[in-house]
Amino acid sequence: MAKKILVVDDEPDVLTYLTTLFSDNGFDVMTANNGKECFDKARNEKPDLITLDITMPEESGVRAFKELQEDSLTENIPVIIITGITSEFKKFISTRKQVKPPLAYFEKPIDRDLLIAKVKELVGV
Amino acid sequence: MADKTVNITPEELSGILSTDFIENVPFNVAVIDKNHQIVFANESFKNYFGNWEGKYCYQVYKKTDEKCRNCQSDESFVSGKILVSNETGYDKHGRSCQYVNHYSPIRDKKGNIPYQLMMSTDIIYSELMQKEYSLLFEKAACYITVIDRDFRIVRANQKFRDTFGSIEGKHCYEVYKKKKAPCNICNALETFEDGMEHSSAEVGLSLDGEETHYVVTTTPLTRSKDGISLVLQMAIDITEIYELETQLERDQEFFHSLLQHTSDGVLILDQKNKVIFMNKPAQLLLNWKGKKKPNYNTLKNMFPEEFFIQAKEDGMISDLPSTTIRNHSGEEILVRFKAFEIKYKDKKTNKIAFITDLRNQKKTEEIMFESKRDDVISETLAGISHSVKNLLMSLEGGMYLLDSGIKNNDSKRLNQGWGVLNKNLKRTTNLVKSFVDYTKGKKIELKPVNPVELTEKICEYQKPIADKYGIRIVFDTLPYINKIMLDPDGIEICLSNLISNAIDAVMLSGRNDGKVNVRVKGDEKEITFEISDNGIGMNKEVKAKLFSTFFTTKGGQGPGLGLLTIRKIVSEHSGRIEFDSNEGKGSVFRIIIPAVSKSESK
Repeated sequence: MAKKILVVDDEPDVLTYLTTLFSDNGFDVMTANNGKECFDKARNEKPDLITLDITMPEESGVRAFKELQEDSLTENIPVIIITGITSEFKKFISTRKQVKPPLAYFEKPIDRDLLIAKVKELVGV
Repeated sequence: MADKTVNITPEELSGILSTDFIENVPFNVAVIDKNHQIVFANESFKNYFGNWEGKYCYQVYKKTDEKCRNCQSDESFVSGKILVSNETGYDKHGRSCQYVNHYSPIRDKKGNIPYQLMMSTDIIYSELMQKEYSLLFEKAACYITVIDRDFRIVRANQKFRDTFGSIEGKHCYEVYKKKKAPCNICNALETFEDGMEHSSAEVGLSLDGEETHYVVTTTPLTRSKDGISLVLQMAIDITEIYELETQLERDQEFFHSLLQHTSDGVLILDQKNKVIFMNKPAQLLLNWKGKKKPNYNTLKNMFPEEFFIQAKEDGMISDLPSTTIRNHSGEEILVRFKAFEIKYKDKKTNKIAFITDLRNQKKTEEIMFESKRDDVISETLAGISHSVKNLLMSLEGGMYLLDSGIKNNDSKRLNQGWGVLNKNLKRTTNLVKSFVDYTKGKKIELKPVNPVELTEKICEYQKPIADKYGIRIVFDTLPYINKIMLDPDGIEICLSNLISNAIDAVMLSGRNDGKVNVRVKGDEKEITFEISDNGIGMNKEVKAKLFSTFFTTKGGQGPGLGLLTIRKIVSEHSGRIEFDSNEGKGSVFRIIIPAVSKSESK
């Protein structure tokens, strides 16, 4: 059975891009536009991995990441951060010791091969 | 009416008595017969009691026609003894007088008493004097003591006893100062020695142990063959004055030190425009050396001319936030200059100038500005790189779709890829355009503009877009508003942006009674442009980030420079932005521009 990936980003073009990319590499893909949708889908659909953008209007990726970490249903889902902004997230991580760092971190624009390799490694394909 | 038995006639008596002695004796002398008729009186009597010829004694002494009830004279006639009594009568002017009367019988050779000698002396004056002095001594509002050669207090008045305590058998230094030995310097001693008056200021201790300040004068009171035997000490209490003086000194010291240590230059003139005070900072600013203070004419060369004008009702002369003074070496110095007049009871007393050196402040401002600019630059770069990274990611996505579409001969994916590329090319163009918008308004150009006409025009431009989504733009204004100094292009960018945001907010709410209200209000002080909507409103998070660079709620649709650009333009008009928002109900933004707008060109 194909592994499920939840792609979270507020930009439709980025969603299209990642959805296509992961599909082409044999994954099932779900999308979410904001942090709240991300958290709901993560609880209900139990994806095998989540890629998360940091700057989103409704609820920021930082808050979504913290919520995922604090919920027993979602805390073990590996999260890869894909974002354009580095400073805000790094600051958040450094000031909150109880939050585990994300398993991987990619800056936009991404290196496709490295991302796919990392995803495969994390979901154990 | 003479008695038949009388051997000496009145004429003979007059002969006997009318000597120099009778006339010169310092008494009022009269002789009466048994019927109390005055038969003789000396000049002194006449001067005191008036005319006596043919009158009875009571008519002259008492100015009455009735004989006295207890007539001493009758008694003396009967007993033949000399009598003395205190009497009250009236002098020749009708003034009440008191006198002592002596009644002496005058005997003839046979021992009969045909006449009586009456001698009176006025007592009222000396008694009164004594009483007055005694009262003065006791009740005087100063401390009065009499001391002997051993410095023992012989007498003291009431105020002294009340303040310093009992005096019995005590020395003056024991009572005045509560000391056991005489003072080192003693006025009384000096007076005893030289017989002169001496004065000095002293501090004593009152009964309650309070310090009592007084000025004492010692005067010789009585002399004996050994010199002065008693000295009178009179002291005036100056404790209150002393305390006021001390307070005054303290206050003076306080204000002096305050003015001396303030970082502003302070210069004070008296009512004749003479410089009476100049603190250190003022000396440094004016480069004024030496003890002599500058005169009025020198000041005229140094200070702004606004210093020399008439003060207003409230005493203010001038308050110049930024002006120059010329110091003693002719150097122009940028300062804040404030001058005012002080009045006491409606009379001008002083003119004061406060001078703040703005040179360092200017430097600090420049440094602040530079560091702020550094912050802005790094924030801007971070923002730009974020926008560009998102664009690149999307463009790369487009490329991926295109590549894989070609590879797999998938025309659907090819189309998708082209779409993404096209869209992001437009976004790139928009991003660059918004940079240009932001930087374009670098120098605003102010000209008189009717704000109502300008706003109406902008509303017209936005109407077609609003109509497309079924949103009404309602324009509302006061009937007439004066032209004000504005940069019409700048204000157009602001209002277009806000109206466009409002349309977006209404659109996102999905309601079908969407409305954007545009209002222009104003008075002589400021003009308010108000744009309100019944759209989705903003939550706390959005409100807090509203004015940060590159913040956007519109996904990737705009770079998030709109409000920042607005803020920049508004601040260049010396105006301000206010906003309020209720999540789910709508938002209101106000741009408030002063009616007299100043250009700040930096």
